Amino acid sequence: MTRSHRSTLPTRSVQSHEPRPLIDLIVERLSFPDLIRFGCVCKKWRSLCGPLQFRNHLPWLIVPHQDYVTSKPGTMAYDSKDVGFFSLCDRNIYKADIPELTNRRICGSFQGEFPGVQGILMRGKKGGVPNLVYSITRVVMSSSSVTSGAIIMAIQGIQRTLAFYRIGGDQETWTPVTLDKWSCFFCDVTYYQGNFYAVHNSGYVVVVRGLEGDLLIVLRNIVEDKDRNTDNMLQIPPQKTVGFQVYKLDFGSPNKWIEIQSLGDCALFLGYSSSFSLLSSDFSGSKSNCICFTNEQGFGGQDMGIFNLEDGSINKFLYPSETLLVMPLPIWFAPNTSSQSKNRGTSRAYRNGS
Amino acid sequence: MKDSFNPSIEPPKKTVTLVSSDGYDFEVEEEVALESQVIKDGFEDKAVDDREYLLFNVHSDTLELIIKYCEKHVSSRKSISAAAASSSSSNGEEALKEWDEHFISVDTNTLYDILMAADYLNIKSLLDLAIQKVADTIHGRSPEQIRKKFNIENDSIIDPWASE
Repeated sequence: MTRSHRSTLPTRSVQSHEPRPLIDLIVERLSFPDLIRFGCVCKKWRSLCGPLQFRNHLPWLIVPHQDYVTSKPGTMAYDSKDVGFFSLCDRNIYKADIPELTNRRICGSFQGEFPGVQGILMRGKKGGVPNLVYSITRVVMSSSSVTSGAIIMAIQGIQRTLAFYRIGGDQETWTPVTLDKWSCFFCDVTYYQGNFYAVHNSGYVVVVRGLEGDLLIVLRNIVEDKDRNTDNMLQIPPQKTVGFQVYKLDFGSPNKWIEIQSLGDCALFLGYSSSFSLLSSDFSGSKSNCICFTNEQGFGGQDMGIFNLEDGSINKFLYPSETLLVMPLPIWFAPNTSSQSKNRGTSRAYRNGS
Repeated sequence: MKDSFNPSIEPPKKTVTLVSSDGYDFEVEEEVALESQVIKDGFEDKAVDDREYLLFNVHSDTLELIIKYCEKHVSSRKSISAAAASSSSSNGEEALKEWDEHFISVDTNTLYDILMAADYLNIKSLLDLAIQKVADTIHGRSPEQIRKKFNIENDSIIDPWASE
């Protein structure tokens, strides 16, 4: 190679080939946890690793990584090295070292925009959202992304009351939702087509802001699991899920719950803090007409599995740990939800005994 | 034929001139320039006396690195295939890998320049190397560290990561 300077330039130049999106090539090589952090860097990068990268990824379950049970029993907060992502595809737990999660509690993951961690509401340290004093059992958000104006609705405390917070407003605390009656003991809350729907444990459906739509209520039939010894750390008897019933809300006058026998192409993901439905045709490896369920209570003791509506069978969730006490509680994490907007909102209630 | 018996007298190598965006001429051997798929694609169309290429978005500093990379790969390939022909054991590929690793251990700006140039010139192995380096740089870093590394402004409206 010889190098010399010239004063005139040749007129012909090399024409570049069709430009390829270089950043896509980079994104392809990132592991899942790296991708999460990548998406948090800036808006542009977030947009790059959205639906494209997760089109075919089934929801993940956020679980403690270390020995499947946290090193600090009873705590709901994660250590940075504790966070794991359990994949339904290969039944593996992937470790994610996310320093920002240290001493934070993951209260929910929102359907919608990917960069999950951006979208995961955390508590324990001051973040973008003020702390709730009491324990949170459900969290839903009115928007698919953490943007200004989005409303977060939570069921909190021993009395399971509703409280909401508007992101980016001048509000400094959570505002409790008070009603004439039914202001406590809510089982669940969901956001569907512009409205929050809460389920009271009497079965009464509270429409926080009314609208129409296809809303499901799911009853989980639970019996005491006599084959299983009560875990010493667990003061409640182990429970076993034996079946589900799914009802759809028929908006008429009066509103009626109609039992449905099939979810069609849908799969439901039920769990602590948040639940959602997906069109299984959008996800390779996903079964339709089934319910993937995990522990839904604010403590351990419930089993996990996949319920098939067609034949009523239940496949044990091959979660690597035998224990029913998984703390912090597993939380479903659906990075891709491009299809969810057209799906049904879900909600559920409990029924003990079958 | 006489030349083949006397390695000290080689036929003059054909050369190609690459011109950087800031106006430097780089005279390189033809086979080195042909590492670039873009140059290769247009090579046959050009007259022999007009083998001059203006690379209007590759700076001379970057071009020098790119040429160094191509020269190394051309010569390594030759020695690897020569070793294979004489069925003598060779760790040429491993050595080249090591060389690559050292070559790509550059600061972020240089890495960016190499990446863009490798894409522009369509040098696949170099592009792969540079992209893997970027992915490795991102690996294990927090969003804030990544921003710092790549000099990216945080434009998120709400950053739940922000500590008090």
